[in-house]
Amino acid sequence: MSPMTAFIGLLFLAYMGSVVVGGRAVRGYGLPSGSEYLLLGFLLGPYVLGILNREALEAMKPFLMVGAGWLVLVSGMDWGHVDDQPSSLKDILASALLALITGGLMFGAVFWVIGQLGPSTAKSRLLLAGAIAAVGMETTRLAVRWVIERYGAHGPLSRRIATLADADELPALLLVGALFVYIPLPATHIYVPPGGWFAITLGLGVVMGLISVALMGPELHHGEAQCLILGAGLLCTGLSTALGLAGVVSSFVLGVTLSRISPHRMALLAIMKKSEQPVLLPVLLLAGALVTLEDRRLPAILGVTLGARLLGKLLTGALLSATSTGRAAGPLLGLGLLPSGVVTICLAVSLSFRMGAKDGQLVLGAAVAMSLLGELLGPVSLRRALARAGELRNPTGTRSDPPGLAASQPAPDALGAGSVGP
Amino acid sequence: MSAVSAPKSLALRGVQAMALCAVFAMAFATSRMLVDAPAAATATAVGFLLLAGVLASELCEMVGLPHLSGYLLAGIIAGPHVLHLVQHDTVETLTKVNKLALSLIALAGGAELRLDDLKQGIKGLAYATLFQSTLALLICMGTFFLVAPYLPFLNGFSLPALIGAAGLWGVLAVTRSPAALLGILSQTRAQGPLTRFSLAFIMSSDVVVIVLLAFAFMFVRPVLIPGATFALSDLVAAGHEILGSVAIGTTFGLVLVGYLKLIGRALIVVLVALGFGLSEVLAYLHFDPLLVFIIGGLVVQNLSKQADKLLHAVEETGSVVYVVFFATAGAHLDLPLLASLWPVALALAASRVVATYVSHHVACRLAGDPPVIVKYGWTSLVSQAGLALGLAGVVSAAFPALSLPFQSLAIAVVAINEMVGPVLFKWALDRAGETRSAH
Repeated sequence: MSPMTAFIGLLFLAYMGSVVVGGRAVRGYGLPSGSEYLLLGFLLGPYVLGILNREALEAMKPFLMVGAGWLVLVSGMDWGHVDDQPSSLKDILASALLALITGGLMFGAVFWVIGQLGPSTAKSRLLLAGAIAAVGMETTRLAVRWVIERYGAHGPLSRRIATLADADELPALLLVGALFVYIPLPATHIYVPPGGWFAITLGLGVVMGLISVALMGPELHHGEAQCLILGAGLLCTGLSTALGLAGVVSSFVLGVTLSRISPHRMALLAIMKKSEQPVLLPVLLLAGALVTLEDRRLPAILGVTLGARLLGKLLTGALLSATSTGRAAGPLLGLGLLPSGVVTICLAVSLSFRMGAKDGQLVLGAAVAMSLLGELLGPVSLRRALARAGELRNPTGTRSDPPGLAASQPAPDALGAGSVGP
Repeated sequence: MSAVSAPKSLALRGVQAMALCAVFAMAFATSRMLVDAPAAATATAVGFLLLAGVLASELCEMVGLPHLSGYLLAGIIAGPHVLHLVQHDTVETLTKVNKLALSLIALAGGAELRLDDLKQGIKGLAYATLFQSTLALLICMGTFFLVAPYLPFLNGFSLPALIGAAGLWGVLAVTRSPAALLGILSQTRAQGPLTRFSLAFIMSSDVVVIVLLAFAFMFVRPVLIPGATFALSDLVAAGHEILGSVAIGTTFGLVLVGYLKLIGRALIVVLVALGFGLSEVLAYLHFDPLLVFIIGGLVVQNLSKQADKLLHAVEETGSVVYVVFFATAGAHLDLPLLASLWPVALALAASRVVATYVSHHVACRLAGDPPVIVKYGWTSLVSQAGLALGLAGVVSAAFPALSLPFQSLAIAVVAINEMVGPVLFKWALDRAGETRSAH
């Protein structure tokens, strides 16, 4: 397939994302994490059918990189907000700590298993284990919202889980930022210590956010805002990538900065949400197409990765169950926190580009596997847990609007701006 | 930009100027820090041009210049001839993206044309078309002939060959810029007779240029290419191109009407897919994408009630499209070339303005156009951009005897027209009282 044909195909998929899926996924149609597109990409990719060949994928890499940056930027805009209200610092810190439990377990397990699989340097073990831990920490907010929307969940536990899923990307992103600095950077004319590069990764996002807000001024003009956000997002991704830094992290920080200091947060979010779904599906498809199963270390690494993630999330669930809000949900609440999605895939894609073919493939493969596992176990378990907690108003998950109607109506809360409970 | 805003305070302008400097400094520092060529240069370039273009346009607004001038300025400063923040190969990559921009601009242009308005001004339009494509063309030909001794690449040309080259130059001189026109109208939200005249003339001029070019190729080929003979095949090809483009454009417009009526969602994605996909197919089949999209827009406007929906969708992308299109055009400007050719280029550009002005006045007198069109109508015809550059490339490729020097001269003249034209037209719209700010 030529790059142009592939591009038109992706635009078609973007169209499907907008028309067929857009606005409905959040109400409970389709798979919660979009894993079907990852699988479709894998099937179409060079490893299986070869319809999306290596040449086309190579040509699509810049789109994938920019798309990943854009999706993470939108996530940053929405980070730490539930019901359009900012989460408390305590909630954010708690979410980060819980994510770190899973991340820590995964890091340890992968670090150990790589050592068992053959000779490797401590640095490469650290890097690979860190990368897999980073992509595997979070619980995707989309899947949690999917369950909450579909089953009409409302109550303290639903809110707690939504808060957790909304704010737990932070440690993963910071770790990715650090890992990018740990990998040898492109040659520069001046010496900057690793800590300096890490600060530049974050600083780029903050500065671009400040510039964007200053430029928008007190009065928001739609066209101008569109140019400024897109420009800032692209510049963040571009400059970071040029310096060998994590563009996804800079983009996320840009999103958070805009969200925290712009007086037009909701309007900006509305502008950005329109493009989220058309970008998401092609990114998932391309990410799926990039996966290969050639590395002989993959089965072992996947085994311990999935096991450690399962254990980490079960532990997280057990901790939540120990609180008054989570007691009624039962001990398997943690399984409901297994879904991973957009951020995981975007981080894995960035890391796979930066780490190179061999280790990068392992990270991407692990991210896709985690996404599939989460898809299988997460939504069902979360529904059960919330049902046990008595927070489901629509336990059968009857769709409130038929697909045709949903497709014909605009979705003001399309993916992510949806509220949790009334 | 798509909206006319309230005047901004001086403090805010100061902050914007500082922000512009900060963006330039960041991009500059990154490009100087790296030993090798940076990765992701296209993403950086588009991002940078978007930010710098918007900022520069805001600052240009302070002195009454159109936003397009700001976009151009940002592109020139960032481009490969000044700060090197956007490199040559990146500009080439972005030029491909501009095909999409031009198709969206043409679609919006077609959708702005109302047949009722066209009927009302048909007499003026006919006279203007006639004189702009004959008298103006002849004046520009004459000027080219006069400056020929100062152009080394024409040394040794026989008189017929020289006339032939001048004829090709004349055709090039009567091309206009739909993008500049719509960019200014998008910013100013202008409405009135001058706006209607400019839209109708410039959008229809594409057909005239195709016909003129076919005639020029037919007559010039035997004198500029050794062994070539006079043949009517160029006219056949032009007829095929025009009729085919109109037919495809009509079908495209009807399909678009059907889509807008029955589905009407995700229009931006559909337009982007069509802009890329259809442009590629049309170029392969030797049809004119610009004409196809103009006709498509025209059909939507005049054969359905869906035009507002379409215009709204195009407008949503409009800001980004104009900034990228003109900032890339700015980065594309070959300043060293302009510096080396400026006396001749300036003479040719000035003669083109004079030719446009004289032809316009003669046409208006005969047509009995309203005073506002007589006085200011010519200003919208000065801008040139991508279309003229594309045509120069076609001529250069078709006539090896002219080749690159001819194209370089065209680039230099287009650069002048590109910078002067939008300023002139915005000024005219303000004076004619057709912009919102004028109201």
